[in-house]
Amino acid sequence: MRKAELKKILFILPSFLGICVFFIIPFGIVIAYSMMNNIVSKDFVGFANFTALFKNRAFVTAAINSLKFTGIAVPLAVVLPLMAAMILDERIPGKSKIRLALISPMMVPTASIILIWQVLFGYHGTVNGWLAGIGLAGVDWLKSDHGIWVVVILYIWKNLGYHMILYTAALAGIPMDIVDAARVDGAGGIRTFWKIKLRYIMPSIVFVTILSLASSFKIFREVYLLTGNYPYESLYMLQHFMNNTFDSMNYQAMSSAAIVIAAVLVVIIGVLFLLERHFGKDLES
Amino acid sequence: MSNRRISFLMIIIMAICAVGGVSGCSSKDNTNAGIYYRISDINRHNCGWTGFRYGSDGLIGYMQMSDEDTVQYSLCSYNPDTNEDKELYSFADTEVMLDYAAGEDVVKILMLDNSEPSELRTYLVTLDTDGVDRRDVTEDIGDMFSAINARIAVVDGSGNTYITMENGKVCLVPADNGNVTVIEADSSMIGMTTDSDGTIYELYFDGDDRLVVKDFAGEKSDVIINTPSSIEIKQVSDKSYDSVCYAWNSDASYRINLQNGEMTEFLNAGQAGLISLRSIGVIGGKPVSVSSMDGNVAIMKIEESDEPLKERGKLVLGTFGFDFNELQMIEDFNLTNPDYRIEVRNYSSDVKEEDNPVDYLRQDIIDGNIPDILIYPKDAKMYEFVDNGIFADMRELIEADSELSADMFVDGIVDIYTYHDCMYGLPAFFSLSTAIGRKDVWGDTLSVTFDDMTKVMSGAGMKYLDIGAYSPERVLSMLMYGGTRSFVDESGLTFSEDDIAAYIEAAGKYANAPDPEKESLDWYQMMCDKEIALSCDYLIAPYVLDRNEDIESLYDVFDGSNTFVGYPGLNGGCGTYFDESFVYSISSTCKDKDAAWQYIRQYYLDDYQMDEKNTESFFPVKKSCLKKVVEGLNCDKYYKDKVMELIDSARYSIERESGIMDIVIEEGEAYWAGDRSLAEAAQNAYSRIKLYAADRNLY
Repeated sequence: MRKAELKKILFILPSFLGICVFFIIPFGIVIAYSMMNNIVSKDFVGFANFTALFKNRAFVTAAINSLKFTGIAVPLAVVLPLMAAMILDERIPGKSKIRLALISPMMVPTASIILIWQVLFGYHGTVNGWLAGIGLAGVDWLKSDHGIWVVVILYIWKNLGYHMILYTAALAGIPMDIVDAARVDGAGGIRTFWKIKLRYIMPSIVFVTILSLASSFKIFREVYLLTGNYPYESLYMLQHFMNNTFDSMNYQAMSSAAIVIAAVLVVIIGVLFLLERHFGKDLES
Repeated sequence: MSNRRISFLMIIIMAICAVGGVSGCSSKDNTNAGIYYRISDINRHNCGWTGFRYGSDGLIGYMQMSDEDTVQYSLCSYNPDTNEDKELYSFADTEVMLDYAAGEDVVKILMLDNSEPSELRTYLVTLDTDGVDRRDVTEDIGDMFSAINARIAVVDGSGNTYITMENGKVCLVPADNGNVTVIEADSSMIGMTTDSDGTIYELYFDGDDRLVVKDFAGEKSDVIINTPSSIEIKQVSDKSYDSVCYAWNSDASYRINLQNGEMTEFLNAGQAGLISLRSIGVIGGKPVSVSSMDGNVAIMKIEESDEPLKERGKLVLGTFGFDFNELQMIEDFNLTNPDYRIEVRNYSSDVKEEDNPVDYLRQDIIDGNIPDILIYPKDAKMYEFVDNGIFADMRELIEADSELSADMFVDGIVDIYTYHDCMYGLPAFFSLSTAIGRKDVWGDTLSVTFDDMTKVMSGAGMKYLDIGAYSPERVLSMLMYGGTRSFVDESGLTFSEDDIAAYIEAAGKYANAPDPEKESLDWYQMMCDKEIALSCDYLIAPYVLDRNEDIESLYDVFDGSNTFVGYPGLNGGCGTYFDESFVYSISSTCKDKDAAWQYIRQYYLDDYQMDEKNTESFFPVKKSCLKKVVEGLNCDKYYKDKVMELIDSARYSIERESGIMDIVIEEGEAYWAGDRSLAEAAQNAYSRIKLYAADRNLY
């Protein structure tokens, strides 16, 4: 082996070891657990746990709810911060104050946010008070099918600021000479956005989408603090299933679920990267 | 001295004889080739010996004597040959003994004296043929904290005293009580001992839990033994015997012989005194073990053998707290089993307030460190572990037992602990949660439905369920547990959304509705006053059948006018559920399940099942014993038959489905508070329960 190659390997080694210890080996253990009958006798059972998983009503409910939540929350978490960033990119009064207001939820601990949400969406909460004020019946927000919207709003509110910062940075990186040239050529704002800005910020959009996807699959703390281990059915997410199976030491079910979730995320993220490559290829060239 | 206590000591000593593998005893009382014992009543009222040391003429003990008004502490000698005791020193009210030791014809006492109101002083008291000499060592020992922790380690042949202090400091007080020298020893020193040639050694554990002996002059010897650090050096011998130090932990005591700084023997010197204060020492050049309870002294000569000590296996017993009976069972097992000894791992000790002890067990399971035997309260939610293969099937072990079989136990209890075809545990005792009612209202029925309840309530003009006022939450749980055999079976949930609605509604209706004309009565008032009890217009009252005397009192206070009706339910049923005591299980990873069963089976033998200490609070799980206990109740045949009928009918245990109950209660609360309609509450509860049952794999 050449000295230069050895040097490269030595430089990479610490990171590689770290990744092995904290990601690859644990994931290997998770795969092993998913093919065991239980944590004591540890007999190999092949894919039996996966078969049982897909027959488990709790898992199926959790998967459907999580996909539903992701389907609603992720597009909003991608688009709304982008719109906010675009607006704040313009010359508008009180820009910094608005930006601060949007970023502030990031700094508030989840437990405090939940307290506010309970005050807002409890059966005797503020929102129902407003509804009563205009003559409408109260809604049991957290124990009905409306519950998912409460969580979506909470999720967007919590993440909007961070995503907006990412977009703001991306927008700042767009070469203004190209934008100016387009304007000189008679392109309007919408055309400039679609043809130029969108292409430049596409990596950020993909990144925000991946972040949103991952965090939407992991939504738990908020729902758990709002409604406990076993919430109303529409709020029972994959992380509830994971948490509860961990609590009951059903590690084989938990590991199987983790692998399924990871596989789904890998596929979705792979598609996203393909899309990014497709839309960004002329930009790269 | 009660006969029971004497018998108790006799049992221990005989067990030790058995372990020693010797036959017969030698003494005035009994004969044994290697072990002798003597039980002496030293004729003192309420006296107890503690902390034995060994003088040249026998045993020296610290004795506490008390009568109705005073407690007197003395240092006494006891001669086992003449069976006589003699007071050596009587402590004044102002004196507190810290430690004492015996040398040749001399006894040293380290004490605190607060006779000077403003000052606590530490004294080294010398008792010898010249009388009593007090040497103030307060300044030498240092501050008060050091003084309280100071102990006499060694009195050498010249009468010099070595007092160990904090951080390995040793205070050497010469025989003539002259100038004291403070010596810096190893800071982790745990004890000192002397060799036959007068050499003094210090003992300590090194960082790897190995016991190390070091010449006190500073010459370090080799590491001498691998031993658990839980062993504490509690006592060193006097120099009348070869250098010996004694150590023990909660399981066993050990004698460590030293020669020129090397360990020559490490002997298991018998089991440690879990149940009595025990000490080891030397009398007449022979090592002995001494136990004491209330003035009785048992002296056991420790068998010395050239045979290497047989290593016994270890069975780890995981528990969530236990009582004196359990300790005695463990001690008995450890004394008599030649192959295994029990090591206790108590998950309830040192648990932080916010922690659940089961989580500690959970961590052990994850670490692959599962106890061989588990003793747990029935509400520890162990069934979750059954699916994970943590428990062994006990049925095979029971069936292989020469004296026991599964059908000897109450069927309902066996059913409860048979889960997914695995009999994962068995409690030794149980009680029943049921409801009593007036015989003139309910007749001979043992099945009350909500409709019956409504009909009788309106007919009798009565409005309430109980004599006392219970909350809807409490009533709901009583109704559901009593009225539903089991929330889940192999095919799924055993109840519908409508059923939940009916239970929530009934709980709201029957609870908190005392007769407006009368004050609510509580059980205590009623059980104390027959007149109140008989005049009380109750319909149904919850009752836990456990203590025999409670059942008898119930019968007595109502003059037999009441009966057991059980909790009302949707479809009737006996309305009674089991409430088990501690449950015993064997883990699937147990190295020797037969040996573990040899321990557990003790709980199901007649002696234990019929023990008054247990049966006065619970029913025995063994049918034959249960029958005897019920037959022995002081009530009429109707009452006894009813109790047996309840036991035969009851099937349900709270533990397995308490999570389901929590959900129903939570949703019920919203209905009772008026926040939700009954249909909404039931729908929410049902939806959540379905999820709960699915992700817990309950069916």
